[in-house]
Amino acid sequence: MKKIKKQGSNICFLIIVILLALVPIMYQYELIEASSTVLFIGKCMAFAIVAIGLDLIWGYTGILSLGHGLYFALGGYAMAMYLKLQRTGGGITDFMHIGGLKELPLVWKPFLSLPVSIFLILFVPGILAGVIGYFIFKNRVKGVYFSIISQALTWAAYSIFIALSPYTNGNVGITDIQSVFGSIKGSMNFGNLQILFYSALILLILVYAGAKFLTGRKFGKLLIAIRDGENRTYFSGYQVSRYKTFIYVLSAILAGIAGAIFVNFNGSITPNQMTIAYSITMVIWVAVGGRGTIIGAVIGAFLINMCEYKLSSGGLVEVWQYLIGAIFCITIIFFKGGIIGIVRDHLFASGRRKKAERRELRQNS
Amino acid sequence: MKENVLEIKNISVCFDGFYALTDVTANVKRNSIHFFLGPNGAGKTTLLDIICAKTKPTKGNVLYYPKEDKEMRLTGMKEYKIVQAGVGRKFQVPSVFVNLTVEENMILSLKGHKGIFDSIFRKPTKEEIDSIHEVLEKVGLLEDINTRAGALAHGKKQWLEIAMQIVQKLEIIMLDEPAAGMGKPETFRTGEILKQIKKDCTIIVIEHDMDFVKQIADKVTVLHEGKVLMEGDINTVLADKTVQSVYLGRGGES
Repeated sequence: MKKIKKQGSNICFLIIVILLALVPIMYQYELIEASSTVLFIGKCMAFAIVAIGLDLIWGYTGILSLGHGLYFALGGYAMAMYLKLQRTGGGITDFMHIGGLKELPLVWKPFLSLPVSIFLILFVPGILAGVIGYFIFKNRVKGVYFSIISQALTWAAYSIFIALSPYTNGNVGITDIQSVFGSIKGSMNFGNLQILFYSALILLILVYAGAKFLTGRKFGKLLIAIRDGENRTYFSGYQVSRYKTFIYVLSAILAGIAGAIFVNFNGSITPNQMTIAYSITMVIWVAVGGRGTIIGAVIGAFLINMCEYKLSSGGLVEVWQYLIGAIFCITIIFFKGGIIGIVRDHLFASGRRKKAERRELRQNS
Repeated sequence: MKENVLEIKNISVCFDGFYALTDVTANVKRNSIHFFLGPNGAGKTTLLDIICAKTKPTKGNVLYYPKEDKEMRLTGMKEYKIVQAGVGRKFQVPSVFVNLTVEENMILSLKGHKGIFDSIFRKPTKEEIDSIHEVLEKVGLLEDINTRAGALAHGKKQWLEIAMQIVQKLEIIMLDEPAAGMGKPETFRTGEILKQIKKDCTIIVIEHDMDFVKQIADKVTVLHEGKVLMEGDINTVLADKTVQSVYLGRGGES
């Protein structure tokens, strides 16, 4: 029993991984009919990765970022630019042509090469978060002020991406692209889909393991310490602002990776992924799953998105937005620990009661 | 090695025209227990805030003479650097990390290795864990080592925070009302613990409990309305008429 409690989250993650690994096989044997479902589950893996990043910074460190869509989209755009150039064979795209550009703009040139693109997927969100984080945390901006700033920056980036239409294709975004492994549409390309799906799964496992490792070390305890008593942490001799910047950069990089995976499954990226609403949705995944637990973020990301997928394809499209809002409010007000919190409290309650009884006995004797 | 470990020189603090401290000068001797007394609003906590750089003084200096290093000017240093240099502080309200266990609280407080890289890859050595156990035994928290700090009783939280200062191997430990909310026996025990650790460090205390002061004080500085009223050992201070009238007379404790 004790072991299950201790390893509960890892066992839970293992089950999720096994289920995910079965998805392409189930599709092969036509237990899953639509290929779009497989693609959607692929996207969910990307969402789980960004949720883990968000959980590290919000659930553990107590910094509520309402702008992680920005980093997600930056990673996504970097990937999409590479993929687009693969389609055009390195030539200029239609929207550049319409925008009056004669040759490939300088910012697009690095995306001709895959290794450089992968580097930029990590580097661009990382360096932006590093600069923002450095100044914000050094000046000890915290709480809702940080949240507001993160929102404003996301909004600004969104506007810029729409305004720079010859470079980014504005509202429409970068569309009509294939995955890194080639086309994943149709049964003849099933092999490609399989490779893509399992690559994403491996990345998810690595990110989960990495996050688990970090939170298990003193570093993780320190994040909790910063959340619960920032001042005390400073007066224990830690340069808190540096830790905050570090974890902010890390979570931005995770968001970038997630965005890149998302593009491969989605086949396009639009400024929509950069909106504030989208960023807040990510926060809801973490809140509902259970913040402060890595597995909670993963479960939340899968659960909410699966529900949305199931419901919004039916007649509940309009109701869904209200429903998710209501779920979020209920979670925040009544179940601070989210789904994981509910499970944990009920599993642990009996054990804790026994302990208290034992202590009483000891005191009486 | 200088006899004084800390020299507070002509400190003034002005908050929007109100002087919380005016020209305060005091010296703290090495390996002593030094009390700052005074009625509410006398500026005791502000003084500690200045030493640990939580508040910037309008005027004046705080000089610190570490055992194995040259003198340092604490005013203008960053708070975490001051802690790393060996001057730490316990706050008035117990501020332990409530969601971590007692042991984790102690591990975070260990001396040195405060960088990100060490936090991720370095594990506490056996000596460090042993020293944690030793300190916890001293303050009587060893059996609570795996308890969440938030679940401890108030007095135990106070002890935990004191223990967190001890394990940091500081040269100066500042305690803001360490006995607040403790019963008589607990307060006495806190005093005995402080007496034990003073051979390794200097202790600066703010406290109202006169029995506690009498039990352990080596030297007392009385503050009143932001100024030093008088300084000396506890008996001289208690015998002084002005001190009695501004402070002690009111409480009727002596």
